[in-house]
Amino acid sequence: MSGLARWLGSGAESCSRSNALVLDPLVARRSWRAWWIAITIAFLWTVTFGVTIALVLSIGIGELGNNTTVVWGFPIANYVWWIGIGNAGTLISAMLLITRQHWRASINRSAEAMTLMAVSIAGLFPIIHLGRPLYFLWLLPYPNEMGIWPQWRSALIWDFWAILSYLLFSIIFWYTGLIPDLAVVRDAARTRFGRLFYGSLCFGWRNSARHWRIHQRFYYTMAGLAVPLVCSVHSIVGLDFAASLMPGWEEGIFPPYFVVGAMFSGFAMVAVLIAGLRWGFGFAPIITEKHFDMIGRMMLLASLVLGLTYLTEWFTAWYSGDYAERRFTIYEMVGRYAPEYWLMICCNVIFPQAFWWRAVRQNIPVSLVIAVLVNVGMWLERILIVWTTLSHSYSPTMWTAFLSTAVDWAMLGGSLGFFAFLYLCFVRIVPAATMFEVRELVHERRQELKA
Amino acid sequence: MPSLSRRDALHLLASSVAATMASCTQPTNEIIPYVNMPERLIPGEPLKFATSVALAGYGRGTIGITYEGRPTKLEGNPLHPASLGGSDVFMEADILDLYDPARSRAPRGPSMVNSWDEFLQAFEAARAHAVGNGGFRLRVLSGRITSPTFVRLWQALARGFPAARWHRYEPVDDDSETQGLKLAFSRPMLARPRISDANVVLCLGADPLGPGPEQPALARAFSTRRNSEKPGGMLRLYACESAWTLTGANADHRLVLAPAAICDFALAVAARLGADDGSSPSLAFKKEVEAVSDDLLAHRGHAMVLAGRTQPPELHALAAWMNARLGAPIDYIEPVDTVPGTHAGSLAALEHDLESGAVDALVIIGANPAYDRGVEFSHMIGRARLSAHMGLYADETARACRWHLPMSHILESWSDIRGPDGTASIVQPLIMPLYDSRTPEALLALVTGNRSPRDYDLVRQTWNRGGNGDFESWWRGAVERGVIEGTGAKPVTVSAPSLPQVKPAGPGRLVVTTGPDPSIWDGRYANNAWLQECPKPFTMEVWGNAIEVSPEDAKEFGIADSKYARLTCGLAVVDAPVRIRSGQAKGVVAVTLGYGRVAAGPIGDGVGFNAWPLWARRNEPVSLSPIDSGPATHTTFGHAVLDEADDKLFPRFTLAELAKLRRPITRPESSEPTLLHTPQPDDGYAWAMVIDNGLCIGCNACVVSCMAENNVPVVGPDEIDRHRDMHWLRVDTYQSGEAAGLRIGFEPVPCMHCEDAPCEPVCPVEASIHDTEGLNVQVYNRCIGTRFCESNCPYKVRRFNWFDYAGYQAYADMNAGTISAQRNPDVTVRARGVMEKCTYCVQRITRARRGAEREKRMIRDGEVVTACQAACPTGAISFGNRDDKHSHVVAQKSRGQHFALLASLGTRPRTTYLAHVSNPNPVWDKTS
Amino acid sequence: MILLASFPSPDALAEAMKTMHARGIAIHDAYTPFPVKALDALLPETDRGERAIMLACGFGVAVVAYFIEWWTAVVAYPFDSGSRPHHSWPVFVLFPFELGILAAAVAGLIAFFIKTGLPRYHDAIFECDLIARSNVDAFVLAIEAPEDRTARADLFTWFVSNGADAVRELNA
Repeated sequence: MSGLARWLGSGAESCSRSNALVLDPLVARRSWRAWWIAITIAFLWTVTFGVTIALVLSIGIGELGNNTTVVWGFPIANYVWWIGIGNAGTLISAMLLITRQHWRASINRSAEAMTLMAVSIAGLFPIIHLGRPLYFLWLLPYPNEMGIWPQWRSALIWDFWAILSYLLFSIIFWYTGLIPDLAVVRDAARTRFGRLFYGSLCFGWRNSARHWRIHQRFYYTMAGLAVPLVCSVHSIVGLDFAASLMPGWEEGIFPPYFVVGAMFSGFAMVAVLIAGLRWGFGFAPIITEKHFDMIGRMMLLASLVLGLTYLTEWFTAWYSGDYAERRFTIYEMVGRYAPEYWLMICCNVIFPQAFWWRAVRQNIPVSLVIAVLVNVGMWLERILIVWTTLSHSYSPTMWTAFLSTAVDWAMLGGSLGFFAFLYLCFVRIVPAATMFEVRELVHERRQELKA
Repeated sequence: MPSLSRRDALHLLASSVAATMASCTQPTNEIIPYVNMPERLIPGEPLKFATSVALAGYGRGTIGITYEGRPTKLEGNPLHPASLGGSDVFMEADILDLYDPARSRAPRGPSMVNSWDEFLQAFEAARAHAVGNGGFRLRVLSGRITSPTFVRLWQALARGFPAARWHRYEPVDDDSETQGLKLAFSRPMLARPRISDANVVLCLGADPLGPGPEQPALARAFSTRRNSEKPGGMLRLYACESAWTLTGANADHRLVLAPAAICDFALAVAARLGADDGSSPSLAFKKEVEAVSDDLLAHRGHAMVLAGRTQPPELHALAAWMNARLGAPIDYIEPVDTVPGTHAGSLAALEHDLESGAVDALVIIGANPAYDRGVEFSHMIGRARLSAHMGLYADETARACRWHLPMSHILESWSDIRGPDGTASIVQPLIMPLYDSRTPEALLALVTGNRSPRDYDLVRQTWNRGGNGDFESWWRGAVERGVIEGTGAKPVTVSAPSLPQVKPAGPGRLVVTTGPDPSIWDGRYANNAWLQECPKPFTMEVWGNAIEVSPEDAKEFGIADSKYARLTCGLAVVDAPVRIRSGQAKGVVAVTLGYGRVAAGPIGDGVGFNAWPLWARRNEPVSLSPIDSGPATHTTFGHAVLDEADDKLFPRFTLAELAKLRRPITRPESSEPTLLHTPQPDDGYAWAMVIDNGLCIGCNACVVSCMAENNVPVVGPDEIDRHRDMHWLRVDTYQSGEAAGLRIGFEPVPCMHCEDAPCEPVCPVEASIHDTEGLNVQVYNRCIGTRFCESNCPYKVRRFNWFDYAGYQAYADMNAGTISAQRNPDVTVRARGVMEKCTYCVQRITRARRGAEREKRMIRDGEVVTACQAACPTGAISFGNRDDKHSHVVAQKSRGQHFALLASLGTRPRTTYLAHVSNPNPVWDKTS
Repeated sequence: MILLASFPSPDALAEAMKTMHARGIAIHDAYTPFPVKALDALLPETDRGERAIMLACGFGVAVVAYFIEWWTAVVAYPFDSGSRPHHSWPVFVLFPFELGILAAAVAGLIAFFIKTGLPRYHDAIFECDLIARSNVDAFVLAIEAPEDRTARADLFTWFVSNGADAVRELNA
């Protein structure tokens, strides 16, 4: 199979069928047993998330495993991990749009939704992590009772604004793409409530060619803005560490390294999500092996870049001749966290090498497993960035290890559950694929066949 | 009646001299506004009063800082010979004992709640019953009491009750020394080394720099001779010891010897000094012996040999003989302690009387034999018809006694006390007794018929025996100075000591050496949370003690570090965690005393293991075997093995190397190049600190002093295990070299107050910023707890309140009302979720500035003294204005061994260091 | 009155649109399942300025943001932070950048609504069933129908003969 046909399987020959396919989870009256089971489990984890947060806010962040030397811990790692996943969604969607990749059609909606959810979750952690969370809005430049302003030299301020702008931007970008599809749902809705609900959400969209033109121009412009924004956001997250003078943090390579890392984990998470769509909602006709093939290639590329980054770190540590840097790198490899470190290397660099083989890329279960491992690896990378440097910096007398607590792990698991919960709601409320782009694809595919 | 007597005391104090006016407060449960402001009392301005606190019965002059009549801090009294301005952990922590909520508050007797009157009735009954059958056999058992007033009252009592006896014992005694000197001079003596006059000191298991009543004075003397610039050269210190002591760590040459080997070594040295007793020096140390004895002889008149507390009397006698040969700068004085005989003997006599039922009434004052002499003693107590215990706490002995009487804390008392050199000083109260307690003197007066004794009068009567002219002015001077001139014991001329016959102890495979704990002494400080959480030198252990063995023994007996082992001395058995200590003599098992209390209070109960049974049987066969592990030990940060490549953290120099040094290792930060504009202080002050690693003996006084001054909370063992200790100041302990030549150095690390501080630009809310005088300040109410500052601090000196350590989440009873009464009102008590750190005692700077501005002048050099600086007995810490070219701190910074910690990072710290300088014997290195 | 004709393909629609132009018949609008580039040329557009607005807003807000930084750090509350310069311009760039892009996006969204006239919940065109089919695969052309019946019949037949699979009249 070549050409556009790659992106469409049997069952999406006509626009009406592709529409029906995407609308099915929203309007079809059939048993959703699997979905109910899934969302119940997800909900329980969401409750866990809430409980751990309440615990930390009421009793104190002493509940977490942090100590005087390793003052940062899970919340920071979780934050960086989630924001990484979050960055990927919009990045993927925007880049593929600009480069006119047709296969974007059926995955960009979930990718962007993933962004929104991941970024919202990520945004919680820096606040939970604070000693006095109720004062987090002192990061805003408002004339407060103390007559002081944010300290603009702090990477945390850049962070705060990067996340905020990025979240709002992504909402706009996502919703703009959503409007025409909501119109379709409105017209397909069975109930009066449905019609009112989706009708009001789609602002009375009526497929007017004039509107299409404005819509597309705006949408492409947003895509153009999204790419630099996303890169800046995760570069800034990288600067949280790079703008310090700790060994293992003060590295110029961090910003690009973080961006690639974000794309990496993002593609991995997208693979997981669309695999779920394909399996759970029968999106097979519009999400084909070829999609996984493409994502596999992306992940392969990212893992190579990441591997290169690790090599660069080791090289610079050796080449700089800086005692602390060398000591740090050796500690990284053979020290207290060596097992986690090598597991991370395997997950991020070794396992993805399997994607060199097309058979692996197009084997959905296998690439799913690898994608999950990649996300594990990326989380390990983030926690190790925090742990290793802080545990083993300049003052040997203060060296110590991080002792994680149950609350730490419960909070991480809870955030995953919350993410799953949000995504499961999303697929039942909003078209999980961009219907109008799929229609365009189907149409062009017809033309191709005629020719 | 008790309330009445308190009112009496109120009247007494109100009508007493103005010097004491501000030191009395209303009872804590009343609040009475000032109608007329008491003289000299400015709200918010602390007042200072000279008084004394005791350790092992010896007085150590102290200056109490009080706010509105509330003492908050103790500092050394420069006029007092046992302090000379310095302090130690115990003096610093005494203030917490005063406010300890676990202190006993009322007399306790057969019926749980009793009064002093009921006790007196019981006492009278016992007396009356006894008088019938020939004499009232009253026995008073106490620790060392040097109070002239107590002695006077005792003599009065003894006149009334001829059959009464006063038994005295200190758990940590000096019997061995006194016996040894008696052996040498055939009369009881106390030796007082004048270390400041010595050029060469040989310590045979002696620990002059270690914890003890004389630590501040001896350390001060030592420091005066360790200045690499002073003419007259540096003192050279040799230490032969079995286990690590502070003296050994600070010695220029340290020899690790088992106790028996120390005797051999001493004999060998003595032989070369002319004691031809034929015993040939053990070949192992021939060269060292020659090097040491030649060095001693080369400095006749300025060389001395000191024998340790745990060494046999013969060795002390031998040391005395050697000192005589060397014309050592040592004074001999009559014992300050008026009770004759040894501690052990005195106690044994009492035990004999108790056994034979020859005791009508037993009154135990301040001592706790039921703990440190074991349950056997508490059974004996039952043999006395009347048994009473007077103490700060209802402790183990109180439980064994029929009566418990609350004793006033020395800071609540009018009394007097003698220092180790006999110097007497008046003890004046800094605060009214918090509870219905009495002083020992008052108790003696009570039982001798004075129904409402005023300890104030009792003390004055002691001293007002004519001879000293206008008594009032004399008294006032004495109280204000905190020292009574001319009461120090005069050195006596001694006959030439006889050379004793030293029979080296038969070397058993294992020997147990016990010593007072560096944190809680003999156990009397067990309920003091500051001391429990004060990291022990070398091991950084807190909240407990351990069996310390050498690596060789550990291997031989199959014992792993921090695993448990069973140690037995004859019948005494303890199961305890093991700590492997390289640099400890093979065959020596070292334990510290004072732990394993069962009735110490919420802080001290069940912490560590009780080593007193081992002490009692220390001469019986010892065995050691591994057992199943129990709970882990607790250690704080601060210990690191230094690898060669990283020696910048703790550079070492010998005098010779220092002479070769062209320019400072690090130039003063003001002259270092930088791209960043450095702030110019707009009021002419640029505060800076220099810490002399060469002078730091690692005693921790600064650590505890900082806790007292800055309201640093205690976190407790569990939080310690999670590496969350809150000490603003830590004494880093760097270990370098191999087993034999193993060296340990101490380096106090407060905040560096970097000029280009990494912690500041990363703070998003301006909680961590720089002030115009170069202080790196932490604004607590701005802090939201991102902890970016600490994660970006290369020195890791910031501390975070993970919980409300100072408030409702405090450890044990550390948030009790009385505890908060100790807090320094000039220092914020930090809330949960806030970062904190060393402030250079900014409150003291501000106070000095207020004074200076009132007088329209600049703050003088040395006017601001930080808490750690004030505590340091060796003056290792200097603080001042770096912009004042004539300030001491500038002079220090321009010295050759001056260096900045991690200078390569370009943080330009204001706190800098003087590298450790030693004065090794050039011959030595050739020998070994 | 509006005449709507639905075509199976965008090309047919475009062809029809051209013819209508040639005949001088006013084109009301077209309704397509997805954006069709070919139509852009045939549907005259007054202004295309929303990109300019986004640019202006983006930069404007960025400048304001930078000013806030400068003012708070240099004028309102200057203080020594690790002896870094009060006006640390390299790091001051980040906050304006983020905020600027956000501002551009918001401005674009507003412009989008203004230009499309959305939200517009009721439109006469919804009366016609062909609009719903434009959700799927109907490419609908809507023209201003001439008044006289013959002309309309003529157009009707023309549509049918040119591949329209449905034609509707709508009174609006």
